[in-house]
Amino acid sequence: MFSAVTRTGMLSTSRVPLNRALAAGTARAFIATPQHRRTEESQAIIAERAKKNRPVSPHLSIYQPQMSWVLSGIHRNTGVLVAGAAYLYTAAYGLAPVFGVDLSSLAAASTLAAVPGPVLIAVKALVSGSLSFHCFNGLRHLIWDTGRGLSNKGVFRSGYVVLTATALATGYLTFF
Amino acid sequence: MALNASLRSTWNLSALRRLAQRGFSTAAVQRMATEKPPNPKTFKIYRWNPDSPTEEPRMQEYKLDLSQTGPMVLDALIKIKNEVDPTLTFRRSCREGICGSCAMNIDGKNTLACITHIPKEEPSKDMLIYPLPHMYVVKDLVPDMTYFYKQYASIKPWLQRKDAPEANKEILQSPEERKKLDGLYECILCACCSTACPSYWWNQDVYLGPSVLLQAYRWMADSRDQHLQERLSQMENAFSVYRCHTIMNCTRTCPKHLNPGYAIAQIKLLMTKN
Repeated sequence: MFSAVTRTGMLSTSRVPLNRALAAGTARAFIATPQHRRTEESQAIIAERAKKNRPVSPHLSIYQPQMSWVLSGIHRNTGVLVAGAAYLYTAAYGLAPVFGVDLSSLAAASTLAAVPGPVLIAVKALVSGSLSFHCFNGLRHLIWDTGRGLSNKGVFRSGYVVLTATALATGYLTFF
Repeated sequence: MALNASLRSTWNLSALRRLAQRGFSTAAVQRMATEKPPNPKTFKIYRWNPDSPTEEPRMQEYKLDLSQTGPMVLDALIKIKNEVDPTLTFRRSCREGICGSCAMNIDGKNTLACITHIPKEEPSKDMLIYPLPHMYVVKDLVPDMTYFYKQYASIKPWLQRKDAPEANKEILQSPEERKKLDGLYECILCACCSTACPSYWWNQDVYLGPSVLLQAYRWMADSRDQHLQERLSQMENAFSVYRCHTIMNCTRTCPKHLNPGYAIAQIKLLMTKN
């Protein structure tokens, strides 16, 4: 008859309501421009709701997967992945001689040659897929920033273009 | 339909009396539909009661026969409240998509219950109904809109002038200038778009959200308003408008088919130009 819904509206087991996390300042440490920090008023309203023990209604876990927000989520995650990998590799490249590790292109190539085929293909597909999706969707964002293509039809059309281009580029970069 | 028919056919006192007795009860719909074969459907509805605040929110199941129910989701909710469970709590008023009271999350999409058809697929799927996402719940399907309305007030949603118009004269507007307000003034502030926006979920206290920003642009685009610079400088910070990452859930979900995402892009363009 009944099934439970979490109080924070999330699927995770975290039981700390967002308001408490915000009040404690643990949610984000963000420096806003001076004239628009979180106001005392907004904090007071949020604190008052928390006092009433009100739950936050479910959100991400119950919202219908749509091209709009799913692609946006992928864009952010691929951005973190690609940028993170680039930063990590660059840092490792700089630090490698200190620890006596050889990270030259030649050494990297010989290491990759020893990796079994299916694993190599999976890694290549992940990296090239992330990179190409983030690039194509980045172009989509640049077009949006000029005020173009911002209708339901435009968003879906450009979304399918990005997905097709990503599939082609990923296939090419992975197998050729 | 029954109402229209009785008004058309016999416009006399007895018909009016019958109409008055019948009122707008679901019984009228029932009488009409007695011939149809039964068509059961399960509604799973989010419940939370502030009188027992320590109890977790839960999904409660209600079974209705669609052949005895009106066509819209709001009809089903009213039928449940009238005939099955009077404790079920939700907001509703106009039942024709102009007041924005019955905004809720139906089958994963934010929309107005009164203008959403109950899908009659075979076999029937369960319908999931939640309050607007990531809002503090007052009770069941009723979210706390206080802060949303405060945000709306913060953009000063009224005409602001530097010079007063001449006495007893309107401030005139050309048809082209008036046309710029189409697609903006129709917003009913139901908050479907704002509560569909992941940026608004995570930054509700500082980001204004698509609905309020569409209204902000409605006054920026008005040729009669003279406070464009003030309106823009209010947005000049990291959060108010720039938490919009062009996700476009807003435009996708708007039950009035407006385009908040486009309005926000126009604000961003105005800010780079001024």
